[in-house]
Amino acid sequence: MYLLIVLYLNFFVPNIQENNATKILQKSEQQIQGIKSSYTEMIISVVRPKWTKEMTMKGWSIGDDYFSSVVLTPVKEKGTVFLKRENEVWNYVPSIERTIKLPPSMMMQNWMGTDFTNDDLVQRSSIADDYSNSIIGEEVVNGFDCWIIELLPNEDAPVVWGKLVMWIDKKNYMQMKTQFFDEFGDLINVMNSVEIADFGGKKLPSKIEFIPLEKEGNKTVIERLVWEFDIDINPRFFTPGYMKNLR
Amino acid sequence: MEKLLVIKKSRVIFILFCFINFNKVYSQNDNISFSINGYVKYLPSHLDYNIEPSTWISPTLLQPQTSHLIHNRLNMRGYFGDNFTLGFELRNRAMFGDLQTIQRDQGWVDMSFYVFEKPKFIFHTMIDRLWLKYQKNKLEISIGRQRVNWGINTIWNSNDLFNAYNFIDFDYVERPGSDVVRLIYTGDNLSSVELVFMPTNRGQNILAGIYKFNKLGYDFQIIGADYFDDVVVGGGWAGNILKAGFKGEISYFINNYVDNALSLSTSIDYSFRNGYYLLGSYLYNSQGRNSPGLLNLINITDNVLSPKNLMPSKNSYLFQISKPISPPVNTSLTIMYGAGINLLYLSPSISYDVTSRIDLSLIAQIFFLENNQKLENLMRGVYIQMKYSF
Repeated sequence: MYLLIVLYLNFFVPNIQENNATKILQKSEQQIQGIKSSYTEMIISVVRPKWTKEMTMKGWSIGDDYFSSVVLTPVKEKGTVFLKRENEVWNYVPSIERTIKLPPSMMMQNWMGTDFTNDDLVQRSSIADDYSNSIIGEEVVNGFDCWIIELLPNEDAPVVWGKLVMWIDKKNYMQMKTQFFDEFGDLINVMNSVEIADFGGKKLPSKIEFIPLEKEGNKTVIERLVWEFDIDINPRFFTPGYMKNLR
Repeated sequence: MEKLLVIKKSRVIFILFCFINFNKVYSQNDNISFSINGYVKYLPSHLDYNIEPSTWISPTLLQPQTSHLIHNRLNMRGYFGDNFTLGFELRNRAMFGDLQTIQRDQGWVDMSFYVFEKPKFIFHTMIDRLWLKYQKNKLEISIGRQRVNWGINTIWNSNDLFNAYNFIDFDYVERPGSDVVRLIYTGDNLSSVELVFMPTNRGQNILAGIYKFNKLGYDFQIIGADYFDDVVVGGGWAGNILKAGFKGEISYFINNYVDNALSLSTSIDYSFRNGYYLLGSYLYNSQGRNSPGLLNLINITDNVLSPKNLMPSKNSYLFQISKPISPPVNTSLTIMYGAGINLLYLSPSISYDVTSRIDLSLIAQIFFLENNQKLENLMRGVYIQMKYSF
């Protein structure tokens, strides 16, 4: 839904330390910084070795803390809504016409069968406080000339990852690729930007794929069809009582 | 076969009728839109009893039953400009084989009827939603048959005055609607006030209110109602203890003629990273029984429930575990125990998400009850559910 926003904001909070890598991260962040609100329409495909599921959904956001999304297809899940307000999450189930408050442990579950956890959608881990960064090389990814930036967690930082490596393109400051390493230095997940599009004058990845490497043949692909920024959204869209009306 | 054709024909005619009407209105104005979706289910089932006939249970009721149900649901919405919404939902059921009784329409207006009613075949249609809603800014007014769902706990909802839910009835999660006038005012900080008026045929009208608010990461609600012979006061909460969900509901029924009653339920649930989901729940029903007896089985399998009497036992416990074994396949096991009456209910199920439209599930329901001082398996049912959503 707003995965990309979340992931972007998560990973592009500038480090206090002034260096080139920090400046690159800052510029990259500016791509979508200053966003008061956003609206998106997207297709999410969950790919498994013998099974594929495709979902279409709409999503709205205000700032970093307010998100809501509604499922359009598959029809059996049509009208299912997820709402996030700061650290609280609700789920509206149309068949029983009830809004259910989700417990924090549900955040560890994969979100709607994708390779993302609910936590990826919600939690705001702070790159600024938790990671230090440095440029470790340059490489061409998907036709884009990129810097390679390594992010290492600071001591005692409450983070999941042992290391992140990001490829950021030199022209548009897009996050073209990210590798997620665990605390033992093993590569766990890879996120690739496979297509780029123009959204309201900004060049942004329109199609990203998230690949958990330990599960062969598994991936989640997110394709944005519409992505609008700084539009007027009624704050009611982010209240549990209004979830039943989203469509 | 002839019977099947009849079903098909009348359904097709009905669906066509709906579409014709939709298209007609749709062309009038761009600001008006309609949607229709629903499902068709085929649900064969087999029920088997192990009860000795007695003076009050006729032997014919205790014969094994095999029945076939084709269940179709249509959900329709009409959106008229920014403020008006119309909801219309229908439940069509064709049943053949050993027929089970179909509950009468409990509403103020009877909106159900038999298209066919034969000894081995019935076709029943029920309109269970028909409402018009006006919504502007913080105010929402709706009138008509609708579901007023006040439950906040995961299982056992004594705050849910308008549609007490029998969780063993998996075929009707939508539940019947209530014929009400409903007013909702949304305040700040996730608070809202809701008033519901329900005229009934029982001579007593119901007036009920709920106030919801959010504090310290918890959703809270307080309810009050003039409810048949009772005055109800209660409330509920949904929050968490550490990472586990913690929810509950309390309702106290004050009655002029019989003893006051207390219903209290609470649950804790937890999802593990590896996909396991666990739920534990407890229900206290002050009106519940504490002694074994066959009547308890009838109480629990009966569809008509009151929020005052959600289980026949005084103390009930429920445990549920579910786990997806592959992305499209999910398994679950529900165990419920009614203490005192010594009722044990087991329900394993497996579901398979075949395509984006087709679901397949296999569900068993097994009841053990203390009878003649022994815990006996008195009833078991097996259900297959094939569902096509559109």
